[in-house]
Amino acid sequence: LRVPNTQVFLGSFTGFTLNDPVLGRLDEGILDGGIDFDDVTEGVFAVSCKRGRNRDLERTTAGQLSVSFRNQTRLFDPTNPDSPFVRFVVPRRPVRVEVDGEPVFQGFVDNWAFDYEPGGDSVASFSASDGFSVFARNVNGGE
Amino acid sequence: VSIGIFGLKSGSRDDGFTGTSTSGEEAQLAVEPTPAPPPTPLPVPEELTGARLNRVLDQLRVSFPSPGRDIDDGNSLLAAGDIVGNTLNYMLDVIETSEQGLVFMTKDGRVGFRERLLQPREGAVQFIDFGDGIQYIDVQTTFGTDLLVNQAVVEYPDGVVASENQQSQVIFGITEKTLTTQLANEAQAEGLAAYIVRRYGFPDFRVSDVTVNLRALSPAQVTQVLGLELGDQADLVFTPNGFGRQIAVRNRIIGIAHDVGLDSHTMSFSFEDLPFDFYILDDEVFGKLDNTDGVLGF
Repeated sequence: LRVPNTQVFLGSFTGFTLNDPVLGRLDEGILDGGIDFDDVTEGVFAVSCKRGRNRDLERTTAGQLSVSFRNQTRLFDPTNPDSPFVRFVVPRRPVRVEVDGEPVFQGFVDNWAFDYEPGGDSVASFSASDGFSVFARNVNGGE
Repeated sequence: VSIGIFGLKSGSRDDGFTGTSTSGEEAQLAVEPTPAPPPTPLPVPEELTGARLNRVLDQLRVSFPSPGRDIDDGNSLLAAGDIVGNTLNYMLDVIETSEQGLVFMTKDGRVGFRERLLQPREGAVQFIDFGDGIQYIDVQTTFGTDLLVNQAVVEYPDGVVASENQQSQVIFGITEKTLTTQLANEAQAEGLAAYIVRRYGFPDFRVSDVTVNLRALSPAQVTQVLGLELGDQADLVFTPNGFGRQIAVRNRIIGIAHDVGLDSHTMSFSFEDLPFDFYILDDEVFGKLDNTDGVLGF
């Protein structure tokens, strides 16, 4: 079961990366690099996002996204190296959400959270924010 | 150069800082990163808000290229001077306030900027309670003092100006709002102050939010609402409880939210109203006479 009509993509850097087993090989990565997005919608059962502001005269704040996955198979688990998605379970990964192929949110993962119940029921979720969260860390000035 | 001492409790792990950790209740970790160079002043000329926004984005230490932007020219003129030491978010706030426009991240990850002078137009997406149009499942309205401002103080690099709506103050008491801007001159600052107390001087019946159920819309309507972006116009026509006078409101979208589950997908829009047409002397679009509902723009 997964949400219909909605796709969640997580990004990975494709540029040359020292010490990386794949991207660190010469003649393998692209020096300047880019970002490849992979569909990770498998098991997604809830998505919510918000951009902009609630009313006039308020400041526009960073857009927020949260995504929840059913995680009984530990597909989204940073301690499970056998998962094909383990490389995505990292904060600051670029994330994009589309509905019917139309983008509705793009930003960066802030936090992953994992909920394991003794019976094997498990939920993985992440929260993300849009580019404003990057801007907040940049002090303005000349070169 | 040591920038600080971090106390580590027994068994704590190194959280990515370079250095050695020691077990023990009061172990200390000294971190010696390369000190960041202090930001140098960024000289800026007198320019419109859109140009200023592009200029500060060009200074980002992480690249945010021009193709990643969707930026209007803007209507407010900003002062020349030096910018230094403010976070980019602060600068975006100041530019947004100076313009009374909208600075945001678009749904596809670009920096968006919409100037304040959105001329209402016919044919915008229309939300309705029944009939032809996009049917909503919930509409929220307000009529109160949450947006009331009858005394506006505008700070700009060369001084401070104020404007008041005395008629409103007599009825509702004084409600003041201070706006920090980079407006270029006194005339621009006075224009902004007058605009604020004119627009927000009295409580107004406003539509704050509309929610639609995407699963109940036709494919064409889904495409229509998914195509909406912050800053776009969206109209609402509804008759509360199905009787009495029909209400038609023109709005600008200032917030968009999605809530997707296995069985439902709702999309909510937050609005500011577009209650009047702007009137600007000598402007090709906003300067037309016979526009009696217009408000003097700035």
